[in-house]
Amino acid sequence: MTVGETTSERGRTVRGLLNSMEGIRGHPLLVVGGLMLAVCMLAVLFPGALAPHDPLRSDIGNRLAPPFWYPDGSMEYPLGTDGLGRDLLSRMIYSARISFTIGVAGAAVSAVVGVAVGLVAGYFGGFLDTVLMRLTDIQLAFPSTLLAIALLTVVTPSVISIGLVLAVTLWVWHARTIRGMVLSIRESPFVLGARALGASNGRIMRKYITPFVLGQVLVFGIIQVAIIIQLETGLSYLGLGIRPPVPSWGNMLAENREYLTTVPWVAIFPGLAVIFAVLGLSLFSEGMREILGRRL
Amino acid sequence: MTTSLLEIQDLTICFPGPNGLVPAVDGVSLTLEAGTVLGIVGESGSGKTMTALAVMRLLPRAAKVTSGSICFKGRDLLQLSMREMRKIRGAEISMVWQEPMSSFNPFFRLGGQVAEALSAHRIVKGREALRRVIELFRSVKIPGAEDRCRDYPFQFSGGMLQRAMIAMALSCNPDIVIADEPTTALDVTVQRQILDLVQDLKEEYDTAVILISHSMGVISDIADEVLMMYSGMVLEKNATEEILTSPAHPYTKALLQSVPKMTTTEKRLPAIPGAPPNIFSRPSGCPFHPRCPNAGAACSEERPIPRELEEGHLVACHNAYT
Repeated sequence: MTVGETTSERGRTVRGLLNSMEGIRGHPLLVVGGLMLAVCMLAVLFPGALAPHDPLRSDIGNRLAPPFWYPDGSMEYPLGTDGLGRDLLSRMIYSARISFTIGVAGAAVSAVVGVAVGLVAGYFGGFLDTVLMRLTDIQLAFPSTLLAIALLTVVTPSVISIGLVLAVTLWVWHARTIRGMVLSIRESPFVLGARALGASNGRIMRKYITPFVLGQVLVFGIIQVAIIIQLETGLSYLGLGIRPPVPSWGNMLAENREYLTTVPWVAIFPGLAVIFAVLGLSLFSEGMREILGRRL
Repeated sequence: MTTSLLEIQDLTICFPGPNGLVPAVDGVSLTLEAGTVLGIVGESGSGKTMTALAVMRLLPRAAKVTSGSICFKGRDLLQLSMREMRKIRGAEISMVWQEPMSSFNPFFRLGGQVAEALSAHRIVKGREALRRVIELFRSVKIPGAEDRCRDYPFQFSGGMLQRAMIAMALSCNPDIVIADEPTTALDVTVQRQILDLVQDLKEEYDTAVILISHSMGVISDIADEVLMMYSGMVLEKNATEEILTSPAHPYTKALLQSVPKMTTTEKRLPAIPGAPPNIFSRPSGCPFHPRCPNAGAACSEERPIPRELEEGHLVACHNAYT
């Protein structure tokens, strides 16, 4: 191909990108959520650069130091220290990496399993559909927190196992919605057309149906990251998730709750961190839904 | 007897109704010779689309083929496994659909989609396939073929999409193209162009065509033979010219009379009284007898079997033989 053609191709891509940037302007949810997530991502990617201290090092002489705006607070420990004299801000920053790793990994596994089940059930229908959907019914009959607690008493908690356990409790939501979408797409004329051209079932699912559900999967997947972060916090709070001394927002809340009446900030800050992360994810996913919803 | 390219024998397709199975296609037989155009004319619900879908083995799940055979090059398509059938679809028998606007995947560029049959059947792929598509686009007279392959379906007009679909149907050089009301969704001038195109390409690619339509006008231009269907049955079959000049079945006659002509001076067009029967409450005997001007006693009791009136002319009517 000629040089002129590749540049025009590139020009087209750049223009497309600019157009989609233009589209973001009208979506404050996406922008606000995105900025909040960007803050979280900084903490996830570069905790060492952001955190002023080692999250595990304790400075017993300075235990329960107040945040810097208190008269006896200092910038050395910007948000104060916990009962063992560990820097609260550093612990919160390092927790973000763990929570988001579990959240993203869990949501990804949940999406892969859920989409596969939903596609197969919706596309083939019949007996297979009945079996798979009754399985999801059974799964839904268990409250997800309870199921996660039950599984985690058997499995040794680690970042991977907690992510997997939470994925197990959440894939059904994907499976259900995707199945519903596939049921309607399966009947569209271009799917019949593809079959008339001799396309195999796998090819039709891959090329003709999956592109339609990806937007939905993305929006729902981001929400699931938020749900998993909340569940992980809950589990860690109960002592079933991330074990001390490794910091996580959940076990920080648990460790520090006894000081709530005397030095409340030690428990409030980890709680705010969870709220910040979950809110950022929710707003971002809502913004995505607005953009994609307009298109689909 | 020489074997035809496609031979449908006594095909019956049933749907589950409130009181058991109801035939939507009832004992249809037809033959298609290589390189000819067979027109199937009928009102909505007469079973013409179901017959076509049965040939492709793409009937809706609820439908059951209860009897009959569909012989294509000596093989009964109804007996083939899904894998064998898939090799035939698109490569040896392909379809052109009624609604070009919704028959393409909106997410992919047209060039790639038209190449779909080529790559699904592993004939050619990649750059070679794209070159083939450009050739096909040229032969269906899409202007600027090289650039338009990169367009998405929404950037095409209905007529252009129908051309692209014809290109797709022809891409593997099939023996038969089934066009199910290919011009219904298009406006009249575009219809004309598409029909001319079908005619030209039929010669060029030496393909047999089954053209399904509810319009006598569409069929009469390009079909070699016409099959009249009504309520799931074949009422009459003859060469196109014969059927236009000397129709034997009262339904064909009535239908031809209701086609508007430039020469007529009457204010109202003659119409066929009544409406086509619902398949769930089909009249006894001949399905057309409640609307037929010369129905006799036998017509409401016994179902007429299509019989050969003269060479190549089949009629299913009690009154036609006397």
